[in-house]
Amino acid sequence: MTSHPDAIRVEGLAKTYPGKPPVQALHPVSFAVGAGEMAVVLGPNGAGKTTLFKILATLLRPDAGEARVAGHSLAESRAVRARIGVITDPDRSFFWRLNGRENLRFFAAAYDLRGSAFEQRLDELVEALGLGEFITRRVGSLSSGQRGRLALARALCHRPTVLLLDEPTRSLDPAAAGAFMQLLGDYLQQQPQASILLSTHRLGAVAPFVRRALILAQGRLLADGPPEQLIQQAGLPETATRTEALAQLYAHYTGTETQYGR
Amino acid sequence: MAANNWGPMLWMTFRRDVRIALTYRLAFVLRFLSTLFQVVVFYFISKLVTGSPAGLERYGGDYFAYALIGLAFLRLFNISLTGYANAITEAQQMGTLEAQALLPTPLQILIFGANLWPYLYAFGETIVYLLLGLALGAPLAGANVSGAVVVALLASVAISGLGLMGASVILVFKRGNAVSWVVEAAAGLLAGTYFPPELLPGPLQKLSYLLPHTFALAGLRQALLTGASFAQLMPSLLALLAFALVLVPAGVLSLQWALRRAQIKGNLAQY
Repeated sequence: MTSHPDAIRVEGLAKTYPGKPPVQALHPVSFAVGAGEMAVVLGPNGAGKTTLFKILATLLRPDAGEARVAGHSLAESRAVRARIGVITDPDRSFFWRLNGRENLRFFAAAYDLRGSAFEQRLDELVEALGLGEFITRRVGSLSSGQRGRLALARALCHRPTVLLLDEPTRSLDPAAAGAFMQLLGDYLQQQPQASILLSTHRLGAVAPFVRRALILAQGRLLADGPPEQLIQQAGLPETATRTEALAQLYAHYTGTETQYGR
Repeated sequence: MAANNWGPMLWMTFRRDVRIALTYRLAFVLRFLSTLFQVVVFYFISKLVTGSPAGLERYGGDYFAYALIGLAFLRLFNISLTGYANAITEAQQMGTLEAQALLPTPLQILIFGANLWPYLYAFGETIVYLLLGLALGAPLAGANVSGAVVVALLASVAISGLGLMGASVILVFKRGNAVSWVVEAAAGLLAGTYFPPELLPGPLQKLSYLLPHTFALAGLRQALLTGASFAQLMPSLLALLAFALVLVPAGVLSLQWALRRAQIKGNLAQY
């Protein structure tokens, strides 16, 4: 694989959805996420977060700008997809009539994880993510939290270089969201070259793990940096916790209050 | 990662769909019963057809045997025609299309793979149709089975081209598969599914030559009802080959275009 300082490098990426009228979802945005970094994208609904994630995951074509993900241009979509792990809709992205193991077997095969290699990796994921109690149950019978963990298992099964997680904690209760973030933290420790870009409204859950926040509103990247630094730059009063810092930044830049959502 | 893993992924897709199908056991029973009833209904309708109407003579003059071939292969051809679009719609509704589009395996391959099980199942149903017909006296004893298999496979490939165009229509318009609707209706009316095209007015007979189904059904009846040799089947085979050479590339290109368009509009998963 190509060696690269930034796991994600975005330059002037923009997207307008065609239609009557066209909708400019993303004004040109530029940022980079380094290897070993976990960054959170914050913003209200309609800020352009999902558009950004979909472009980086090669599901959506940008109108302008360039991006490299895991060392590859978005035009090299197969190479990018082989190196990313993605969560977009944990609840509705599995074959509900199959059990968790069968689902993971199908998706893992696309990364050449088959036979004993798959079984070995599955054992690791079952242990790390606590899937043992439900991996053999039909996905349709699982709770949202269990499907969320299964989605993370799918995203991690091929040991991706870059994780793109669009609101992965959306349907999780606070305790499950915290546990989910802990799993991501553990993954970064095990794979120090990996990077994670995630979006969430659960500031309390992500605060202990992220050192970097990107704030999007109305398709514009309004702030990018460590929360404490952004607080200083914006002239906001210092906060006791990073959760409060994130909440304050969110309110300052987007003009909307957010519930901390543990 | 391997240069491409299309073969293993086609197998995994097939295996996935078999396992899903096995969770719907009642559907198997009901489909078998519907096949049985359809064959029996046409068996009795055939009692009303006396003499040897135009177009039946060259196949031995037996209307039940004539209709049996049309019924047996119509379902198979319809899977080639509508299966890809159905696979897309189902994946959109289940929410799995985007998850599959995120894989390094091209989505076109996964869509193709998603039609393997339905096709094989329909092939099995075709055999059941023919066996039921045989049990009810259809004259299939001297059939050129290998010739019929080659005609059926070549016809399926040609019709798949139309099916891929139908899948493109579904990606663009979400509902209303105009291609499949027109071809399915035309195949029922013009191609000799239920009655010989010779009964149609002249202009409509000419229109029937625009459908691969017409040549497929003629070849299949020749092979199964008269035991025609490969040499005798050659006109049908060549016509189907010509259809395949035109329709399959057109279908693949249209699907690629539709997928690209969905990537621009961001509506791949919408239905």
